[in-house]
Amino acid sequence: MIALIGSPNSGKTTLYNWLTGSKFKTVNYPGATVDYTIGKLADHWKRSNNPAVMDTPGTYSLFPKSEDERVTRDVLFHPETTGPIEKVVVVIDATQMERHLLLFEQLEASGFSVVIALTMVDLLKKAGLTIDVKKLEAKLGYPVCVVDGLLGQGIPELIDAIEKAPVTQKLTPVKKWDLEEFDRRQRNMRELVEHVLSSPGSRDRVLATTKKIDKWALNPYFGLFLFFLVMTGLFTSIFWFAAPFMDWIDIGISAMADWAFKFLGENLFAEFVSEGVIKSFAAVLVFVPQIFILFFGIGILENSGYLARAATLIDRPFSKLGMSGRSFVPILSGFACAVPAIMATRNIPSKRDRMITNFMIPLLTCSARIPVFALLLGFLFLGQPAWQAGLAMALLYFTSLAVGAFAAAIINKFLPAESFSSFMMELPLYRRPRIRSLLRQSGVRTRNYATRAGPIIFTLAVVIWLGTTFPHPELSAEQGRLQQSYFGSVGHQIEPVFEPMGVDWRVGVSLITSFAAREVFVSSLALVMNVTDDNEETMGETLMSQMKTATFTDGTLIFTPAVVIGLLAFVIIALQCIATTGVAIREMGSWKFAIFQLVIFNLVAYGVAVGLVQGLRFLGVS
Amino acid sequence: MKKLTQAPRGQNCRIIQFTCKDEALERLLEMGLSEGQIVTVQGQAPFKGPWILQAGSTLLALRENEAQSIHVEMI
Repeated sequence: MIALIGSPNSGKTTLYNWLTGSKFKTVNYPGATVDYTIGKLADHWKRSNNPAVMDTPGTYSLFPKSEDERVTRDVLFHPETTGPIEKVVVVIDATQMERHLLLFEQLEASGFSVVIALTMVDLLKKAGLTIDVKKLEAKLGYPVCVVDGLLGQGIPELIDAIEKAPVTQKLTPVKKWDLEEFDRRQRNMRELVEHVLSSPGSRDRVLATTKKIDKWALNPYFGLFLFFLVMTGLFTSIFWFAAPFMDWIDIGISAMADWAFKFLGENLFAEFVSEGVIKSFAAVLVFVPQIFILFFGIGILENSGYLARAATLIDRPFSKLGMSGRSFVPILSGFACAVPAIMATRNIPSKRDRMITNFMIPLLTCSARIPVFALLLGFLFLGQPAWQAGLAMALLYFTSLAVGAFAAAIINKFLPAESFSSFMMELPLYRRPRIRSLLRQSGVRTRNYATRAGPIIFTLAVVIWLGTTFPHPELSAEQGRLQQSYFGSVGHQIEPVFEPMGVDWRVGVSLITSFAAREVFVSSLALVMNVTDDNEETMGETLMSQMKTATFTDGTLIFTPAVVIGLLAFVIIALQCIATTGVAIREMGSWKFAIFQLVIFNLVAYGVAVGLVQGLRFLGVS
Repeated sequence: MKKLTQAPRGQNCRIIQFTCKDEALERLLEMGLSEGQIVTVQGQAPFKGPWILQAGSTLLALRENEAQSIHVEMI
């Protein structure tokens, strides 16, 4: 096994992509939750054997300070799942040499057989600097290979050097350096860099363009304006670019479901395959385009260097809520889906910050809430100009952000304060993002998400199908199969619970089923309202007209404005997502946090919904 | 001797000592700061946010309390 180790922004993942081509898989480190990726050296490098290559989370040192840094250290010194690390390629940014070389020294001191991959030499060249690689090699005593992440130059030479390097013999994890040791080593490295660079004094010339851009990007006025613009752009593109793909998935799934009926005949098994299995699979698949675009968009921002600036701009406001700029990416992701958002909190070093961030993430309007909002707002603004519903939708987004901030502020009050609040971030040089490498990386992350959250969503969707079908699968929907199903009878029994929200058992059952995934609310409601229209386009309309006439047994209307507003509030606050709770348990390493979150959000959601409905009724809004 | 936050912008200064310790200090060291190192304050993010600091060819953003734990002299 060959491990790639490097600081964040060192170009490690790009190099990994060059080395492994398309052969890779993601591995979950036992006990921890951070992934590393393992691949094999690509065939096109034409080597007699293709050794396994591993990409690890970026780390500044072997003395970890965050969850992802911890994984890198653990995988180096406890490689039980990966097999022993025979050689290490340490990836070093030539513009940040003296800093990044400290990581090399820690690896060397631990006894690893090291090969150095020097990246970003082109940036030095652009600033008119040259580097004497032979001299550097001689000084360090280990092979140094210059690689170009953009063009792939130097990769064959790097592979040669890896092949020639001896196999790591005995490991003794490096002891923590004290201040003097750090000092001494830093001084040595600075001296060394002065020896190998053509004109070390003018080295900050590499920063010239970056500093010019930062004058604008970090400007109090223009910087914030740009920030707003970039984020709006990212958001619109998530929904805009994903829409056609989501439609295709819908069409494909419907076709598959139809095909299942044709192929298997009209029987219970066919129904199970089509409604139970295929449609449940769709519940997982339909979000994949959005997640992919989100990862890709964040990847571009990260790769270009802008993300670190965005985090810096937002740090102060976030600090008021007990978080830091590092919480920015997770929170941004939370607007697409809480599952990858919670996974993204791993690089927050402070446990407290991380907990607050994970606490508020499920409150943000994720994409699974959109179909529910669309239905309820569509109903509320039926016959009104479309912009009104649109405006209301925007309002819901801001409400969810405000609710999230409020929740963060509250938990911030209750958690014991940390002695030293910290935010430290390297602002990397601006660079052109490597699109190809990013596409692949986003693909890996998306697949990770699908394999992690997928089984939970899928299993629950199947359970819900079973619960709404049995014990009387022989009945048709018109004959009230659902009413007499397990879920239906449970719904009847718990109707008193939902009554204060102004809804009957059918809405109650739909709310419960939406714990598999929120958007299931719409199809469940359609199911309980006996809407048998399979066409997605017209189903919404049919459902709305059913909702218009739906009444309690005493003949009073169910879906009054007050009730719909109450439902909207419920969906904003409630944590109706088993996948989120599952991931929260794993990421926080404790049931307590996730269960508390689950209980408190749903109780508050219920309380607010009841309060709103009853309050509005009291004010004369029925 | 001044705290880094009091140093005039764009002027070179030399780090004399750090008043933070343990992990906070270690993080500063890992980001390439050290006693004797020459640094320049580039500015501060909006809303009195993090300080932007240049050390060699590295740009760093750090919070007020971290910036205050770095003592410098003007050169």
